[in-house]
Amino acid sequence: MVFIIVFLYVLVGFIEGINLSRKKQTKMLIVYLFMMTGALLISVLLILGVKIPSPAKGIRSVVLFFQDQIGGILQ
Amino acid sequence: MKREVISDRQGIYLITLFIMGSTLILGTAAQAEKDIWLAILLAMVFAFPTLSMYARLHALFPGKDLYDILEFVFGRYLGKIISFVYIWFAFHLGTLVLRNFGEFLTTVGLLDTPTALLYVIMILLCLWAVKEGIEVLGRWGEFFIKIIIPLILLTIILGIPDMTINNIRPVFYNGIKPILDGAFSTYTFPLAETVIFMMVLSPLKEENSSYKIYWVGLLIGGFIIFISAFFEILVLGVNLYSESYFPAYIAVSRINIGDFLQRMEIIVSITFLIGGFIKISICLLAASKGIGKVFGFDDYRILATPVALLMVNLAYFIYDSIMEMTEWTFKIWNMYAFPFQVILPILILIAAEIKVRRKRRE
Repeated sequence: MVFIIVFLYVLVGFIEGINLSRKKQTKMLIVYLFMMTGALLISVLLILGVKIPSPAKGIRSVVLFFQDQIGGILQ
Repeated sequence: MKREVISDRQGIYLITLFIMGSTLILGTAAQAEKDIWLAILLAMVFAFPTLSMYARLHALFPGKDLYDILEFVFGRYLGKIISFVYIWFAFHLGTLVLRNFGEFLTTVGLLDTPTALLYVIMILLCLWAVKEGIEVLGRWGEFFIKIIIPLILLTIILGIPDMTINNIRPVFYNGIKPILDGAFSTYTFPLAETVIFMMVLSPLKEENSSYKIYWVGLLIGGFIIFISAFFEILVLGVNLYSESYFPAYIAVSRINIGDFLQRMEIIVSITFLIGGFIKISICLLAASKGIGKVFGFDDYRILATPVALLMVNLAYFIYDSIMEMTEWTFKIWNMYAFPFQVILPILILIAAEIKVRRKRRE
């Protein structure tokens, strides 16, 4: 499964990246490849069963903290 | 790059479909219990000045989107920092809707299908639409809204025999506080989520039509969620409405006209598919466009692919379960989204007014 995912990412990255390099858009190519690599890494980690911390939990704690503070002030 | 333009009507339909999006299946304002309909009306009243504020920003800077406005008003560095905040918001919202879509399908229909596959199929369609541009999305919305609004109205009419008026009586039984809580919930999800349109609604045919687009979009979208919530509460009652993950689906599944017209819940699925598609596409477009603008690129389309793939990844692990998703949507989202939807736009509008007036004086 990991190989299939890596192959698909490389295929998409190659097709789109080659267009960018032909147009000599190096800066855009760097940003594109950086984001593609990030997405590929996360996908591979998820397939391997690695537990990635969800941002939802962090946001939840921050929101609840502020909610408590505001609630305290209002009381 | 070819300049894209959308008409007022297409803009209105896009906002309407965006508002309908995931709200139609997830429900809204459950805190208001029997007075849910009052809460939605109140939320529309509150949303009116907020959407006017978004429209005012468009009117002050015709042809410019939020990212251009931020850079003009706050300068290069602070403007880019705030742009990043909005890119995250658009990206996060798109991810949440994608997750809603996956949870909905695996809960009600495709029980054994891997959710990742559903995310990939949906995001591929959205990616295609985003690469075609907002003009194509506008035309797509213009076509499909004419199909889904009659379908929703027909479903509600067919559900009349299952309605019980006592489900909404007595009015104001629990006082004003639950109504205000419900109104705030509807205000932040979905009405003020239209802040995303500030990032994508720059290519308008007529310069000063942003007010009309936001106002009419709010009226139609708000009306649709109002009548659907009204229908759901009348059919299901307070307890079932607030305990269900997808109240619209359950309410519509009760329709049975003479043992002949039944299993109408497919209409709910189609409506969500269309509304959710537009909502995810608009969020993907806003995030990709923002990344393009921040890095100073002319074209955002190529960046849509990695953004879409990141959305799929995040949608996969953002929540552990459907319970967590529901809790997040109705308890955390309101407070989390409020700064993006109200506080920051107010600050941006004040700064923009000062800057524009100063420029005019010079």
